[in-house]
Parts: sequence; C-alpha cells; structure tokens
Amino acid sequence: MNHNNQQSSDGRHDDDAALTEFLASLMDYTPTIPDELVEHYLAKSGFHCPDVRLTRLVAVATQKFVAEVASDALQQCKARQSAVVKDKRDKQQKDKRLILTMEDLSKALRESGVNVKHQEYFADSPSTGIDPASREE
Amino acid sequence: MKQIFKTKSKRKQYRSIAEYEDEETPTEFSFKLTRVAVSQICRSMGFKAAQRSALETLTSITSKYLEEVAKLASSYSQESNRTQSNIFDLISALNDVSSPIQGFVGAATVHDTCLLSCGVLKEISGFVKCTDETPFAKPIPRNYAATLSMSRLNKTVSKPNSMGLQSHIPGWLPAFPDAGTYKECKEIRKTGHLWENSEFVQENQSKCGEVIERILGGDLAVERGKVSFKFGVKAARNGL
Repeated sequence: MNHNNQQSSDGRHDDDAALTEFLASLMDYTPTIPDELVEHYLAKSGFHCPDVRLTRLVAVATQKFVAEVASDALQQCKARQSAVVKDKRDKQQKDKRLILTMEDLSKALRESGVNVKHQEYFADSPSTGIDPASREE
Repeated sequence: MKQIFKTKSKRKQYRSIAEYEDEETPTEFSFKLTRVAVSQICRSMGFKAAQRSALETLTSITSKYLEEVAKLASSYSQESNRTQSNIFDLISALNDVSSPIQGFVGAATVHDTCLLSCGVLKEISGFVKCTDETPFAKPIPRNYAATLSMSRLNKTVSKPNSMGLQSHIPGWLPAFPDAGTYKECKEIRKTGHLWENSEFVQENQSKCGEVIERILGGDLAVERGKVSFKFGVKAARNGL
C-alpha cells in the first residue's frame, strides 16, 4: 500500500512537472489564433482568468481542433481527386489544386460530431449569378 | 423572351440572397479575425484555396468551439464557488468537449485519475511539439478606446485613491465617472449663488475659490473660479 501510494504521488509529481514545463513552453509558443481574439471569446462566455498561459492553452486546443478538421478535409479532398483522376486525365491539372470545399468539410466535420448539410442548390462559385443562356453558349 | 425574363428574375433573387447573407452573417471584427486565423491553419495543413462558404462554416464552428470551452470551464469554476477559472476547470472542459465525439487515450478513466495526467493535455502538448509555429498574420492593436478610457480611469481614480476611497472598491466594478461630472455641479451652484445674491460674498469669492480649489483640486473648478472672479471685479469697478 505504502509503495503504491508512493508511486502514485511520484506519478503526480511527474505529471505536475510535465504540466508546468508544458505551460512554460506555451509562453514561448505563439499559436495561430492570437491571444486577443481568444481573450475576447473567453470574456464573452464568462471565463475569467488573468493567466496568459491558460489563454494560450485554449488557443492551442482550438488550433489543434481546427487543424484536425482541416487535415481530415484534406484527406477527403485527396481521396476524391485520386478517384476522379483515374477517369479523366484532361481535368487532372484543373482539379489537382487543393481547395477546401463544403463537401469535404462536411465529411470531415461529421467525424468530429458536427452535422453540416450544405445547401445543394445554392452553389457558391462565381459563375452562379451568370446568365445560364450565356454560359451554355 | 420568357427565358430572358426568367433569368432577370433569377438574378434579382441571387442579389437579394447575397444581400440577405451579408446582413445575416456576423460581420463582427472578431469573426473576421477568426476567419484569418482559420484560413492560416488551413494553409499550413496544405490547402491552396477555400470556398467561401466552407471557410465561413469552419470559422463559425471554431468560434463556437472556443465559446463552448470557455462556458464549460466557467461553469466548472462556478460549481466550486469561484469567479476565476483555473487549469483544472479548463482541463475538465477540454475533456468534456473532446470525449463524447472522438475520444482520447484514457477517456474511460478521466474521473478516476488525476486531471493533470489526462490524455487531452498530452495530445495537446504533442501537437505543440509536432507543429511549426505560424503566428497570426498581423499584430492586433488593443482597443484604442479602451486604453483611452483606462487612462482616464487611472486619472480619475488616482484622486480618490489619495483620499483613501479606492482601497475598498473591487477592481471589477465599472470606472468612476469623470470627476468633473459630479464635482463641477456643486461648484457652479456655490459660485452662482454667491455671485448673484450679495456683494459682500462677491468680495470674498477669491478666498472661497481658493478653498474650493484646495478641496477639489479639479481642473474645471479652477477655470470657473477665474471667470467668475474677473466678472466680479469688473462689476465692482463699474459700481465704484
């Protein structure tokens, strides 16, 4: 029992040290989401803490979330393109640009619990407003 | 003819939809800043371009994620009767946000083990180690009006501070109004009353003004005193 307790307390010490080290490293790390923006959102939701490291931690967590969603979407995009390329080689160059589309994003977000259904009839390409007759010509 | 008419009406529809969207989407400054940050993250992940709607969806989800984390953390801190949140609130909030969806290492034993050793923190620290820093595109200036009001607050509060009024006022209370707004009033009444009614007090006005200046020490008090004094002297001279 004593041994166990000692182990757990040691473990806690290790965790504590690791956490302190991590939080200290956050002071040097600049997240993509700026502190001011995070502070604004935190203050808006009633979170009050003067510690900058916690703000940074929130920023890093959010950045991780967005990066995961984006990388998922990127994988979807690449998979879709590799499927398309086999069929049509002419369009290969056109489609090879990596574009974040609603289609890929909604698939990526579904994995993280957000159900986005993108409106199929409101296309958001710039050619949407153009006269269909002229487009046909 | 019909086709042309139809297309025209369609155009109108599109326009109205666009206008509606412009009105509807949050045009706040913070939303735009978030959009910049999100697009930077997307670019760092390897995207070359993005649809506008996709980017805005991701932006709004990001801001909701931020707000959700903050709300959960503040509710945890309120549960334990605190106004300030600490690291434990934040960690349990992050646990709550990520556990029901994706899961993480040690999610099953979150509440049995120490919070500091939870998987979420480890994942985040791993993320920090793995990814390169991509700082925000432009430094954001702090709100100029806010800093102005802060300096004004310091000015106004410094006077009561010397009188020992400030020590019992908690920091989170709103700023005192400018000293001129509640001190000036008394001053006018005094001078107006004295100046209009009797010549005897008019002669003593300079002394009175000095006393008031000594008590208040405000800028406005000094100016008013001077004006009324000159006028009084002129009147006295005219009378003589």
